[in-house]
Order: sequence, then C-alpha cells, then structure tokens
Amino acid sequence: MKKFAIYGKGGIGKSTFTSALSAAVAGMGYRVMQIGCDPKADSTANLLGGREQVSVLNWLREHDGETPKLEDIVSVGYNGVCCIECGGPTPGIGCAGRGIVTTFTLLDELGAFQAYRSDFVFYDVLGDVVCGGFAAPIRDGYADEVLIITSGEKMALFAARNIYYAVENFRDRDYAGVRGVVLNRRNIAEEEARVRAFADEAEVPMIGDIPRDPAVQQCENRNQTVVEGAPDCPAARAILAIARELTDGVQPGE
Amino acid sequence: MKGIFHRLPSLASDYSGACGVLLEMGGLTVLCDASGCAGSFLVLDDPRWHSGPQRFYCAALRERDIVLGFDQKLAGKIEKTYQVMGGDFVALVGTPVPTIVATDYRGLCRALERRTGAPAIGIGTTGLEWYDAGQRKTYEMLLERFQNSSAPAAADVHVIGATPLDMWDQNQTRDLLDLLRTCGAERPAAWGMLGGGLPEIAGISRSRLNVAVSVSALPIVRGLRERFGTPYLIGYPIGEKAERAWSARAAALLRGEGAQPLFSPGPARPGPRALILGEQVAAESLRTLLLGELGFGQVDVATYFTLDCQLARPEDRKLVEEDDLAQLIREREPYDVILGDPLLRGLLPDPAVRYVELPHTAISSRAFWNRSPNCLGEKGSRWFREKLGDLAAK
Repeated sequence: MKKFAIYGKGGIGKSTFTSALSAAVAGMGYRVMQIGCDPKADSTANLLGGREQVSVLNWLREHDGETPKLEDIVSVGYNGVCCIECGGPTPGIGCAGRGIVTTFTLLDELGAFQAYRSDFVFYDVLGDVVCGGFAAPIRDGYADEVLIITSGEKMALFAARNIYYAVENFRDRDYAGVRGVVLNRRNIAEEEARVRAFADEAEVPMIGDIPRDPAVQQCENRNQTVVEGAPDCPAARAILAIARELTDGVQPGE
Repeated sequence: MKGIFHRLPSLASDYSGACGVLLEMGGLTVLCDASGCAGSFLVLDDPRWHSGPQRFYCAALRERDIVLGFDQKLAGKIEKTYQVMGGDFVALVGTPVPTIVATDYRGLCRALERRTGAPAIGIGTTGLEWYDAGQRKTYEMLLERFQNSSAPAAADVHVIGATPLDMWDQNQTRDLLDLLRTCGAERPAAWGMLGGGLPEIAGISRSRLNVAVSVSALPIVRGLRERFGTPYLIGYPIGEKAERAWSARAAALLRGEGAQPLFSPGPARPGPRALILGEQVAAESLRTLLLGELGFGQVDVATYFTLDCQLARPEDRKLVEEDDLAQLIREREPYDVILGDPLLRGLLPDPAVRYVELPHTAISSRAFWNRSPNCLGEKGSRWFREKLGDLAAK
C-alpha cells in the first residue's frame, strides 16, 4: 500500500486534482481510498457524483458515544474509489486539526485500510500544515510521500515553500518526505520557470504539469472529475501521466 | 448524579498507572503535563517517590508551550535532563494536555532517540481512563519496543502487574518471588519491582511461566501465551490452602504439566455471603480464600476498574457511577460482610453493615498505605480470620 498526502495553497485545486488522480489510479486497476482532511468535507464530491458524504466528525457528533461501522463513513465512488471525509467540528468551536487525528485513530481502530485492501491512499489536506492535526497525514504510519501542488502565483508558491519547510522540519521524526511538485497552471507569465525554480531550490522533482483547461470546470459542474467526464482533454491526460508515475512498479493487490 | 463522583476522590488515572509501572524500570520517565498530573502521581499515588530519588521528569508545560507547539522545546529539555539523569530508555507519558493537541509520540520519540542515543517510547495515556488502562498500555508498549527473541533469558518466571497502585510493596513482591522459587523457579522476576526491568522484558519469549497479579496484566499473559506458548497463572495465593493449591499448579506448569489454571466457579452453597470491592485479580484471589478455606457460601466481586469477562463470574459487576454500588447492594441484600477500600464505605446504603477495610491505593491514594496487610499465604489466613471473626469457618 502506498499513501500520499496532497498539500497546497487553499483554492489551488487540491481536491479537484486529488479526485481526478484517485479516479485515474483506480481506472488502472488499483484499489484506491481518498480521505478528505478539510472541515468543508468536499474533497470527494466529484467522485460521488454529487451524492452527500457523511463526514466522520458529523457522524460522531450525531451519534454521541457510539462507534460507527465502516459503511457508515465510507462511500464508494467512481471507479470504486473509497471516499472518506474527516469533516470538522461545530463551526466556531472545537478543533479541526484534532478532529483529523480523531478520524485517523478511528480508521485505524476500524481497520479501514485492511478492510478495503487499498493499494493507494490519497490524503487531500487543507491548505497548509497549520498545526499538529494537519500534519497528521504525514506522520509515521500514514502518508509515505507528500505531493505539493502549486501554480506560479506568488502566494501559491509562498504556501508551497511553507509546506516544504514544514515537512523538512519533521525529518528527524521519519515523517513522509516530499515526492515532488505538481504545477497546476493559472496561465500567468513565466509560470513554469517560477515553479521549476522552487522545485530546484527544494531539490525535489516536478512530477506533473497540468494545463489550464476549461474541461475541468465543465466536469466539476457535473460533479465529475476530468478523468471521468473528459478523459481525452489535456488536463486529464496530464493527470493520467502523474498517475502512471506514482503507480510505476506497483502491482494491484501487492 | 451521573458522570460525577462527589463522595469519592478522583480515582488513579491512566498516567499514574503508566508511571507506576515505569518508575523502577530503569528509564527516564517524562510526564508530559503542566505539573498537576505529576503531583497526583508522585505525592498521592505512589509511595516510592518518598523513599529516594527517581528518574522522573515533569515537562511543566505552559500555555504558550502548547499554543506555539512545544515538541522542540520539550525534546531539548528532555535531552538536557537525560544527560544528567541517564537511564536505559526514555518514556513519554501522556496527559490531557498533549491529548488535546494530539501530540505525535511516535514522531517525538524518533527525534529523542536521535538526540539522546537512548531508545524512547511514548505511552498514549490521556487522563481520561483509570490506572489499569495506563498500566496495560505501558506493558504493551514495553513489549513492543523491547521484547527481543534473540535476547537471553534474564528470568525464567515473570510476575506482571505488581505495583503500589494495587498495594504491592517490596515485601509482598519478595514473598511471592520466594514462593515461586520453592515451586521450581530459578530466577523469578517482577516487572518494575525489585529490579525487574528491560533485560527481563527483552527475554520474555524464553519465560517458563508468567504470573498475572493484576487485571492489567491479563491481556499481556494471554498474548504471550498466544505468541510464545508460555503458560500463565492468574492471581496469587491468599491463605494456607490456596498457597498449597497455587504452588502445586505453579510447580506443575514449571515441569511442563497441567492445564490452564483459571479459578473454577462453584455453585452457591450454604454459608456467609460476601461482596469484595476491588481490583479484579486481587478480588479473585481473595474469593478463593473465602470460598475455599473460610467456608463462605457466596462471594461476589464488584469493581470500578476493568472487569475482565473471562475471569468474571455471572454475579460480578462492573461499577461506573457512585450510586451503582448502593444499587447493587440493594439488589443483592443481605451480604454478611463487604470488603473494600475504606473510602468505598461511604457509598454503602447501610453504614452499619459489617465492613473489612482493604486499602486500595488506586482509590484512596497513600492515605491508608501503612494499613495494608501482606496477605500472601498463611499470613492471609490469619489476617482474614481475625477480621472476619465468627463468619470464618473454624
């Protein structure tokens, strides 16, 4: 089982990318689980065709003191991707970061990875490594590697740099390392050069270049990923290429 | 009132259970708290703190440490402390503070190992469970980290679960180890008492017999039997007759004979009725004395701590709320005698009922520590005959 955590600035397209990546990897014959780690609980919407997904924290809130079964908190979406949303606390109170750890602990107790025999797990994480809870996906035992998704915009690269250094900061703990950078284009000037400069500075490879593509929005409006709704469009082809790289050498059911 | 103890003090918490196991293990114990939890454990829950220096460190976390992320600062403090105090390992013990911010003990331990060069373990205690849960987690973590199938056997019989929170002191522990020697043990050891530490745990796969003397050790000895086929005994002998039977079983198991020894339940019969309030393995050991030697007809057990369903008899009861005890007694009236911690007496519906005080540190802290009897073997017969008077068979 290989596990990746996807980080990047808020609004950069993490959930859109992660869902399309999950769909692509699942389409190659692998068993895939996607875990949305954002209180908005909208990571997996494009995999579920707009069906509502009960988040783990919502379930716990509505069933005080009870323990869910896996089927209460896992929905199966496009290409058989198992979809989980951590969700968040009551807005304005509680602790979203701690909620992620609570969710992960619960998934461990329920044996979620073993039950669904996942080959790949993708954690789609809220904007930045803001506290211990949002670092949980890269802790020992969770993600093996981190993907940083960014455009060439100044603030997106600023966030990417912060994420990189946060991950580096945990090097002495054997946390996940950065696998690479994914460029999600906004079509600004010298975009590739800017992102490549960051990748070179961080000494990590650029493992994908997703072009600006209207098909992404069109598919999203239909609650689909581009891999499902427009598999031949340039964005889908770029995501499929990333999927091929991440799955290289991994056999389904390994 | 549900969910609130207003007549009992706060019972010993899981972090006290963890610290009690670790205190004599030879490591540096770090309690990750603001200092109140350390006070509870050191001042109230463990008499050993007053008998000499211990390798124990209170992290003394402050609000800003938590809000700003205290891991690096804590790691630095522990490194400096370790350089002064040393130890075979470092153990981080959790409390409510790190629980709220979901401290990653595994990651922190990796960093500490690099800084100190010593192995480090994290015990995920939360302050939200009782002491026996903390003891169990600690035994499990010690086994996970230090058991080594290629290690030599530092002991051939292992006593697991003896800590002051269940009233085990050095004398009673020494008596039990001596008794095991008479049964054929060559090098018996008690984990966390009288020098039983990492070498013993490392070589546990070569154990000939494991003895669980408290409920927190039950999953450990069962797991060890599953992994290594090691036979185990549950409980310890209170009274002359029990000592003979227990010794015969221990000796048989050490010779490689005998079936798995659990206390065999017998049908109710004429004789006095007793209710034992306390830690389940101690209560089971005492039940053997009352039923097998002192002529009692029925003996029930009730506990605020873990009630192991394999060991429990149908009439035994897990207590949660303070009022549960009075409720149980009203359902079962009349008991001829109730035996338990002095503080539990205040929960009884009839304060005039005959009551034998059996102090339990996990309930009343050190308040009655010096009134605790050493009841192993024949001493138990004498002590309980005196306390039970006319209820005990001649």
